[in-house]
Amino acid sequence: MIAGPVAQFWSEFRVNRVAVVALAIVATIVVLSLVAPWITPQNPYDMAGLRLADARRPPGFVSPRTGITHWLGTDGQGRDVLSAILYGLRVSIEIGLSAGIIAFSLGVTLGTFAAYLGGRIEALIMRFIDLQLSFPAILLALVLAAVLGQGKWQLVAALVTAQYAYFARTAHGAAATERSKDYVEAALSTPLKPHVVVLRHILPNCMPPLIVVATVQVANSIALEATLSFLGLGLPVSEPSLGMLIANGFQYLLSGRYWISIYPGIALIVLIASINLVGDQVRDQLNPRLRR
Amino acid sequence: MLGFIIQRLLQAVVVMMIISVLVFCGVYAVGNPIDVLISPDATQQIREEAIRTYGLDQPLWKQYLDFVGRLVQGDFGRSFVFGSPVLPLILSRLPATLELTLVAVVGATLVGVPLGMYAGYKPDSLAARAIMGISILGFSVPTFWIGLVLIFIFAVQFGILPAGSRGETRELFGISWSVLTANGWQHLFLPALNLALFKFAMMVRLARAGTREIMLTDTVKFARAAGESEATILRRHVLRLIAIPIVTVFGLEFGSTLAFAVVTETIFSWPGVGKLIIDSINTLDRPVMVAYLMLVAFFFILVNLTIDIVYVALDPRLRLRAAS
Amino acid sequence: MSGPLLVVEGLTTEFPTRAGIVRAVREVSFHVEAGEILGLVGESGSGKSVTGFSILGLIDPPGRITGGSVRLAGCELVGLPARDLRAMRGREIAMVFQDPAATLNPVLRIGDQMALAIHAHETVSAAAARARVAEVLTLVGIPDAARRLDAYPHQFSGGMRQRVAIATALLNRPKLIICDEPTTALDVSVQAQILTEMRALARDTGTALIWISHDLATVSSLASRIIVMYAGRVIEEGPIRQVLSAPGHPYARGLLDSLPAKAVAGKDLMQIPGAPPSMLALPPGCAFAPRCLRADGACDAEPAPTVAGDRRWRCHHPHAEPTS
Repeated sequence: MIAGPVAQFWSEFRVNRVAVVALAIVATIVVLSLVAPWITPQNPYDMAGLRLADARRPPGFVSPRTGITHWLGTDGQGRDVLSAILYGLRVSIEIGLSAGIIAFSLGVTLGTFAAYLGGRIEALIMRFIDLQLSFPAILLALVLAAVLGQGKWQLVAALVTAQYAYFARTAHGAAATERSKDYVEAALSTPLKPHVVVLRHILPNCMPPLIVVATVQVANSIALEATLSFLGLGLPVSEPSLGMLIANGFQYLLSGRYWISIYPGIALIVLIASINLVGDQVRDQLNPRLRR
Repeated sequence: MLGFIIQRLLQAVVVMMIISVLVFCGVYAVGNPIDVLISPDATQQIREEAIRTYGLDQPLWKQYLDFVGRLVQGDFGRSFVFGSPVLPLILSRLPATLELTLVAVVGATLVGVPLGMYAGYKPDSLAARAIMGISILGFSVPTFWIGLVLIFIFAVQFGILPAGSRGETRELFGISWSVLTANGWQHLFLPALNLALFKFAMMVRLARAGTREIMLTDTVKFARAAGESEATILRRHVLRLIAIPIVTVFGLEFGSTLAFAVVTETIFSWPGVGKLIIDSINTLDRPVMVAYLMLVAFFFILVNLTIDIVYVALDPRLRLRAAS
Repeated sequence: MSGPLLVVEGLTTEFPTRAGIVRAVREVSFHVEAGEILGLVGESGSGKSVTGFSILGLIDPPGRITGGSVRLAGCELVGLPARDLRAMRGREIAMVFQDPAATLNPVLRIGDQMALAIHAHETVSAAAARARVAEVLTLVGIPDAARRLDAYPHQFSGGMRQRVAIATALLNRPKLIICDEPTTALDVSVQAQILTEMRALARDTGTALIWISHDLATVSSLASRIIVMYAGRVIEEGPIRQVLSAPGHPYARGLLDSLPAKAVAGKDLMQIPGAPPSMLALPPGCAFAPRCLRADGACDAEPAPTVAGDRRWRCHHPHAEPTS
């Protein structure tokens, strides 16, 4: 009967079938995008390999030139949409995760630091965070993407700036609560180094709300990246992410060539919705107020 | 109460000053606008003349001081691209955006809150699951893609609604409104729906979570024990209790919806400020960007101030604290 | 004369949980005479509150009443349509809860939320409802009641809030009020006041009370009869004096012995050894047997109730033989 917290968490998680399926989908998408170079019929970033004669073909088109079956059609440059989606997912996940991890580290450090220090520094940091949070993330990201220019790391920087504040506030809230508890006071009065107390005692207790914020924010980063790319402020055109694929397909949509925009969009939604569903279940499980 | 408002107003002024510095620094780091303004094969003389005209030869701090000085007088400078003063340019585009945003946020709230309350009241019912499904979708589907799908379905496939632009408007108080004409509503419907979906999802979640928690409280049990009907409990007790977070989010979301209108306006070529800012980012039209950001910041602070005051009006427990 | 006001027979309430079915109330039977104060004593988890909620038909799904009957003045309440149950609540049987801070709606004015309880049962003008609210508030000892109708719950002290809750229960002149530990959350001095007032109120209005408490001392100062619950069952019932002077069931005896008033100065308080059983894994037979000093093999079988005159208990080895 003695089960680790992870095993116990999983046994509760398992009850929600939808969340389990969502988790499986996320895992599948991640694996598929990782192995994309080996399973796609075409490298969509290799401009030399694209045939303009194969451009804008509907789903199921078999190219007489390359012999490739384009299950989801081709885009305006003759890219296989399926290959482009898998490569695009790769980019989306990479950017979403990097931004999520960096924003997490930055925000959590800042938030716990502020809670631990207390006093004026805490007030100053949190005031700034609140100020930033009152600004819509998309606007910040938009301006930053415009300021920094195109490129993968510029984009990550814009996303991190737009999102670290959520982590900081959550971490600060949880850490400030923990900080005021007796056991932390007790731990601080021992010869333990303060940073040990923060790492060993305060931080682990802040994890549940942070995990919830993290799932939501990774999904948000992916959506935001796609939005910025759609607006032409994201990645360079040579390596289209999902957002840019959709943007490129927009002009063809009005003439009924839906597949260039719609399929990448569906891939994007399935990924984001699955992450959100997993996040929902995690949140319900970690919310003590809903436990009966 | 008055002291509370004055204190908040002072805070707002300080915040505006900080933002003006940040915005100025941020925006003036964007590329070199002169490259965009003049064709690359222009003579050196034309180039320098343009730089002088736009004050780009001054040191940054001087440019900032000039900028603040002009701001205070309501002069946001001239658009590099349009050559006209920025403030009237933005103000002329503002009604379209405000109208779109208002219709979207109000619609999302009016539909989302009752549905969310129902989903929280009967969380295991089929209808509740359907509502939550739609809300998850509204949350997960990027706004721009929904816009594309809406255009594809309603404009391309069925051809029943226009794909873009504003349609007929009618003047009221000297401003053009789409909501006053049938044709205007036709044009407004898709972009407003597009913009509303995310807010709808958010309202549903908020109302559901609030209702679920409140239905478990003793307040509801006590009302039930007094024989009050479920409808009364939902309308009088639950709605009043969830109103506080909903008003907060309504206000905050109104601001962020203004920001998201950027995306919707781009897709539906809605002639609002959102489209203007994207165009100006792409053309590095600095004065427009600065003015837009300052106005949005101003707007946000106004909204936050209003929320704080409404909050106090809604939650009697806070009145004591506000008074002291 | 007709029969008792309330007759509960074989009432059983179950809650399905992940770990199995919890039978919180097991075949509970008792009755309440008109105008009588009945004490219902037991430790937390003994099923006393669930019994109260079961009578009102206020068991939250997935929990439900699985057997037995509750008759109010001869009318069966178990299985009554939700509509009729609602009409009965507040009007025939009302309820007061433990924590007034949690039961009153913090964002509604006292007068408004109490008026909701009146409007739940009759159509009266707002002014008439207000007048009645003020009248009942005065009755429960709130000074200057008419002027405090527009106050919010947080502007009252804990004791005053509980008086408001009691007044709410009295509004529709019910025949029975179920009081679920209404004084537990209050200061000791306020407790005593409210106890005295409740006794007077019950006498003056002819309202019967079921006073649920874990505190034998409180109940003994108030009730004329008492029932003791353990692990979902009634294990002892009788007139208060007889039960207090000669408890039959060893658990009732243990409760009595552990009262501080019984303690000899300088000696430890008496305790009942062990802890209450898990409702998911009840021992076969008598649930108290594992903690009982008198238990033997016979206790592996469920003891049948022994009836003697007004008294009743469920024990194979009672302390006193029943006498009438």
